[in-house]
Amino acid sequence: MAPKWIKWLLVLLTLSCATAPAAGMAAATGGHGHDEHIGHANADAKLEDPSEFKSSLAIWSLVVFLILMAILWKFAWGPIVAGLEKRESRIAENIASAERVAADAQRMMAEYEAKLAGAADQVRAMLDEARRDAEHTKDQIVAEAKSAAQLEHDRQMRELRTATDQALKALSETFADQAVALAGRIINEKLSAKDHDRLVKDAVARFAQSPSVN
Amino acid sequence: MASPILHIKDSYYFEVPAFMWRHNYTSRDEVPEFLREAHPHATPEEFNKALDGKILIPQLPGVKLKNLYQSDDWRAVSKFMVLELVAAAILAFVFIRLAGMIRTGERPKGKFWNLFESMLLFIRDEVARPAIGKHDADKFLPLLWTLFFFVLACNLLGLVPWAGSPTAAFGVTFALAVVTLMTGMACGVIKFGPVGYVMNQIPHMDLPFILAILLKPMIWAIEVLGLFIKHAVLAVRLLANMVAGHIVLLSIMGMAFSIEGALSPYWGITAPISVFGSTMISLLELFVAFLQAYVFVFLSSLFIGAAIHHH
Repeated sequence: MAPKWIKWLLVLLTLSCATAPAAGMAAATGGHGHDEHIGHANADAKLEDPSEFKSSLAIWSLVVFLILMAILWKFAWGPIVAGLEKRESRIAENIASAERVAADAQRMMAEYEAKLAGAADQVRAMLDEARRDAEHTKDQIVAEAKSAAQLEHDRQMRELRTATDQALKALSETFADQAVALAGRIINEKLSAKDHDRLVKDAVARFAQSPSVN
Repeated sequence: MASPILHIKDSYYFEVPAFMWRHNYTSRDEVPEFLREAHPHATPEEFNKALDGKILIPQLPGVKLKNLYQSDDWRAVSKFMVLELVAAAILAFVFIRLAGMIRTGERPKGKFWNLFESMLLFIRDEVARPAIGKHDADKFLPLLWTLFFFVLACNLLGLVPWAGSPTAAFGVTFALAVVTLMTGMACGVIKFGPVGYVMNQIPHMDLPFILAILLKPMIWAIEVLGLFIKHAVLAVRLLANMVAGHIVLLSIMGMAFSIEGALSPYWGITAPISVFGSTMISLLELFVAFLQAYVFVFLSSLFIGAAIHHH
């Protein structure tokens, strides 16, 4: 970038030529060229020594420093240290309480989770029990119905059998009387009343035995 | 031309541009007495010309100056004394205000609070506690905080137009180093007792008895000498850094003044270089002001820490 650099230099030179008269005038009127002796003509050798030690300045500095430190100690550093400690302890307290709250929350969550898990178990147990109950009830109802049906059936069978027996008995008696009467008429007088009774009884007994087999 | 050193030395006047402060002495009687005595033949016009731009600091009645830079009277008030008061006033204002904010115990809010609190905490956590030890450091914080900010304020005043750096005078840095030395000595004596403190200057060594009798007194002498040298160097380091920085600044600015009235091309080249250079060196000085305040308080912490701990 040499050409640009040179251009800037030329601009600078031109400007400086333009301002030269002003600068010259400033020098002529003595902008900075004051009488160099007034003010320190009677000075000793230490005047131009940058490490000159002035005891009055040292004592003054010590006094100013100590007073400043005392003032700041009382009105600034003390309250500042107290404030910083207050803030530190408050932050520590906040952190501790936050940790406490977090631990509480965790514990409560664990509790609720356990409770929730317990509730599911309970529900399952209840359902199981209900199912068992229902099953049992069903079996019971079926068994009761069965036994009731059986009883009814038995009772009907008994009645039926009784009725049949009665009917057969009546029928056989009727048959026997008819047969005896018929046979009596046939054989007439050949049978006494005593023989007649014996014959009827035998016939009835034989008749009464045979239907009970079926 | 007067030596440029005079621009950075303590004086009994503040210097401002000549047009801002003119002396219109019409007779010699109006000129301050010490100047009349020093220059019996100078005319009022010569005094006017020499003193334009110089604001003489009013002195107590009866205080006599020797010249604008020297006085045999210890009561004479100099520019650096005034500037130290200014620095102290600024610090008192800033930190009492800051204390009002911090004492609430609230979290820091705003630039002012954060800026100064971060500096205070830096000195506490990065300087005092590592150098002195966490247990003892907090006792010395008020001293170290005051030292740091006082040195910093005095350094920075050197960058304020028409002011100057009190820390560029040996008396000031010497007094501050004495504060450090005395603190270390006092706390060492309180902790170990006078004899214990003196004996603590010998580092612990396992030596045969004969050798110990020979060597320990010599080592003790060297250590005690070293103690004073260390604190003297503490003062000289700050002084030298401030003086050196100001001299570099002066020489670069001086380039423009020495070329004043010369042929225009030379002036035109030199003046911009001088202005640019002065700006750059001023920025460097800004850094040095902070760095040297830090170095001063860091070394003070180390010295105090060494004084109150076993070697």
